[in-house]
Amino acid sequence: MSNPKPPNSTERDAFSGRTSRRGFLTTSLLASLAALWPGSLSAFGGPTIFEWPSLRYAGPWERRQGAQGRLAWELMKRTSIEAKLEHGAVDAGDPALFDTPVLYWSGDAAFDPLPEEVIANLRRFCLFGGFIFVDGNLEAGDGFDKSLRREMARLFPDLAFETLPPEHTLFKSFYLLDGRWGRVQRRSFVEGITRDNRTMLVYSQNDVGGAWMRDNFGNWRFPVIPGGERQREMAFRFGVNLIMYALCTNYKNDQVHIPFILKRRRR
Amino acid sequence: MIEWWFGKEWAGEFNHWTFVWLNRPAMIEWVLAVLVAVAFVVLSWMSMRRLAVRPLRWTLLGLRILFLLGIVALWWQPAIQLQKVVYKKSHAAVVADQSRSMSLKAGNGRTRAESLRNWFDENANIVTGLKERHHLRAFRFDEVPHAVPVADLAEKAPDRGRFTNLADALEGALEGVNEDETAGMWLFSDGVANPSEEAADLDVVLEKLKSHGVIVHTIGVGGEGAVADIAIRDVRYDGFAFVHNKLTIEASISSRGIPERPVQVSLSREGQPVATQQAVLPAEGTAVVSFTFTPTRVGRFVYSVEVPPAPDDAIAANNRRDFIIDVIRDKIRVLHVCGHPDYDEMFLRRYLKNNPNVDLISFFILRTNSDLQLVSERELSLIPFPTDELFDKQLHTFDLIVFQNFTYRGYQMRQYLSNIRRYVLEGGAFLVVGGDLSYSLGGYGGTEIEDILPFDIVTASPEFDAAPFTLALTEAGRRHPVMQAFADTDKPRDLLGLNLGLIPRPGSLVLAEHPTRRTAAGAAPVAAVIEPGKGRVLALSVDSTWRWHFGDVAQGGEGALYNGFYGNALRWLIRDPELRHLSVRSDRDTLPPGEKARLDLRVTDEAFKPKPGAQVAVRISRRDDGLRLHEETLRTDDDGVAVVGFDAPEEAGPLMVELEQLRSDGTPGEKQTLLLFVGDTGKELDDVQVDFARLRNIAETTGGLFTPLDQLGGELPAFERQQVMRVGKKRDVPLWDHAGVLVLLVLLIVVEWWWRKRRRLN
Repeated sequence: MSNPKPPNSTERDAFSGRTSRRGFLTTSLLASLAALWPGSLSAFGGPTIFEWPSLRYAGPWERRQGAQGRLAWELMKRTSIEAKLEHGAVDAGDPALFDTPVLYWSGDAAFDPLPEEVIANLRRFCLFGGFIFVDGNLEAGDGFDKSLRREMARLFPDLAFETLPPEHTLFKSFYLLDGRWGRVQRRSFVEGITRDNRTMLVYSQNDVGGAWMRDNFGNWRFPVIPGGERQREMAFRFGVNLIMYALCTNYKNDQVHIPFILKRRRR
Repeated sequence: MIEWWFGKEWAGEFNHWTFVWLNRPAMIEWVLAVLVAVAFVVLSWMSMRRLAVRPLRWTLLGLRILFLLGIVALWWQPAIQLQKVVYKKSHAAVVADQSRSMSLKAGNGRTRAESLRNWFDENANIVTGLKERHHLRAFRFDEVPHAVPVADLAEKAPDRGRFTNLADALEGALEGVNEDETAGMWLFSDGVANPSEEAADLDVVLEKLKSHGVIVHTIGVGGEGAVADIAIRDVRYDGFAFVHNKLTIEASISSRGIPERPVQVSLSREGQPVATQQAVLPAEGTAVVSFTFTPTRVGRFVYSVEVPPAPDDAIAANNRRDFIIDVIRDKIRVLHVCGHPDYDEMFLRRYLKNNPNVDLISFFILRTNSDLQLVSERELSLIPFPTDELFDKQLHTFDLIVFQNFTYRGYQMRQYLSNIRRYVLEGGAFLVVGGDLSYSLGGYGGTEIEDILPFDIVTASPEFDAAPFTLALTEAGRRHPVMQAFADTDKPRDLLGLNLGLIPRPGSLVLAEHPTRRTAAGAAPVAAVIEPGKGRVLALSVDSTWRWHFGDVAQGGEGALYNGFYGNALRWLIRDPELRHLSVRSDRDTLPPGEKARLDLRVTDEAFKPKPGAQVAVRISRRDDGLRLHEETLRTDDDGVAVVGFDAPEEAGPLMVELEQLRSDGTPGEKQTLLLFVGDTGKELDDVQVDFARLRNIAETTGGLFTPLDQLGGELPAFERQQVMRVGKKRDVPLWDHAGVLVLLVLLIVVEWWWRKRRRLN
């Protein structure tokens, strides 16, 4: 049985290291959810459950830090995935990059070219099983987009960004979706870099993480544009699908699922 | 001359003389001599080139060269060798073909072999007469030459050789005699060369004969264009095929001496028709027929390609070709069930999905009943978990079931656990991967699943240990094929978390354990195997093996340890033939009739260590009628190996080899079978026409003559070298140490000096 669990000692320390109000709110929320879903805590030690660190680089990497934690809550509420509530950051040049195979790369401004060893590390990360979600917030300009595309050309000289088609597994890995959801609706599509039938890197320009974030009082951190809670809900669904795709890849493309999915899509 | 020079005494002792050099200079001496001579001549020429009188110039130069030659002659010590020489008869051989092609019709109502025997019979006096001129030997040959009495050449020979090794026959006929004392051979053959792989090269042998002056007269047996025959010359196929995958078999069919005709070529498996093809056979040539079909059953089968014989077909036997094809499963059918998506599932699914040998059926629990269900089913891609379909109706179709961090609770599948137990006991494979939903945490204690696990599930508190650790291989693990990938790894990346409350059961084999954590029965197991009934089970008490993959990638690798571990685990679980405890191999699928055959057996213990002294009962019988051909019980040697030797029967057909390992208490152990086929593996009858061009070439190369047998009449071509000279006693009489030689040399140089002085030359 998969049930949410209270944070382990490491997580509690991390919470208490911030504001006491935040720690209180978080603990309260955890406790209430634990009460909502009865059952014993059974997951293995913290390192084996899902963790989604941010990529730390010489650029605006930290402005959506915390978004993953909010999505993790939703993941545990809605799916069987066991996830950490606090997600750290990792340097791309650090061997610790390979401690978790799923990475969150956010940004809203131009950044300098990544060092060559970072490029090499990220390339190995992606080619040998890792998954990166690049979350771009381009409200203030397309500097991040240009920088990212420049780095992608270095990372994968033989591969290019491609618009993920509606039938891509990402859009049916848990929810049946299309690809335009996020805090803003700058693009009606998401792009990806795919190799051997596996999309290693997904890029959205719709600030998806911005739609997930709450402040310490539990309020939504940023308004969704053009607006409506439906849009925010869809951004969460998109996030759930992202993680499901990262962990299960093309599972929902297996033959056994196709008749069910086609039937529901037709309705 | 000997008497004139050396007197009567020596003339009585020697009857032959020859000129020899007693001092044979080494190569360096040769080089020095040539250099000195050239320098001497060049310097002499330069000193004399201004002489106006040309005869004088040439005379002086000639004297100097003569002097130089005299010095060289002294150095090399010329001598007369007196010899006592005897003359004797040379060696010669009659070499007669007895390969299977000699059983073909010669065009005179007789077979080629009969024609040849008849000639020897009618001309026995000729052959006998050869003995007066030569030391005569006789050979019959097929794959190798067989020495026979000369008189036996007229007797019937078995004509059963699968190959015609002409070169070996010619070379073998010289064995034991001095080639330089051999006059030659008479080679009687149809010229059909069908050499085996190890046969000598005919061109090389002919050059050797030529260098020794050994002449080969060839006599062609049979008539050119006399035989009509349709034959399957070659069948191209792979030794194994995948079930439900298209397979192509290509047959080359030759036609000789028969007008162009349509034929129906058939392919059958174990006598049952598989496919037929229409083909038009040319009057003289080859047609290729291709069969493409899809094998539907797994197993080792005898396939046959057959073409109906023509009314005047010389050989019916070469109209059919039998061969064995191993039809193997194309893919391992794997059911992968996972309790919730996580990194370990992420990597294992990807490994299985990318494995071209795996047909993967996955079912992951993406949402449990306790998760919030905020949206309608229409907005979700989730499908019902088809437990009845998977664990009842389709269970037998899987080669391997993987429970990865999965609990049966909550899916109304308690009643299916007994099915899984039965599936394993009847030969299925089961892989259990640990995690927070496995073993005691998954509620498997006391269920039918526990019966087939290598662990007893006991109460433990806590039920898991979250601390990182690096596994330690046990002694059994170091040898077991599942863990072989660790042999190349100094220190695998640490694992995170371990299921506790697992006690290894009797009969299980712990392959890896926790370095420090203890249970009531010893170290906490990390990986263990067991073979309940006919099945195999591998159980892991961890859920972070993915770190072996990414840990290797972090170090610059490509996940070799992870891929190697799961690759070996799959192979062991599905009983890859290479990983069986009792294995048998034959160096060939088709055995030549009547020949010695050999089987190699290998026995390993539960830890895949060679098992010395293991008893294996071997039974070899004809499959069609069950006739027992060979039976014995063997013991393996120190390397766990035993060899079975037996004679293949003369009759063509399938053989069944059955092996059974006998346990120490005499009860049957692991069994193994192997299908072999007895049939003609040679190509002796593939091409039935005589090849007189080859015989002509042999004769011409060695200086002999080619004659067709029917034109031979009552005489065989003779050899020039009827007698050979053999030197007995010999004596060297030096010429260089004679005083006259010294006087001659001095005289030469004095004359040259005197002439120059007289002409006032320096």
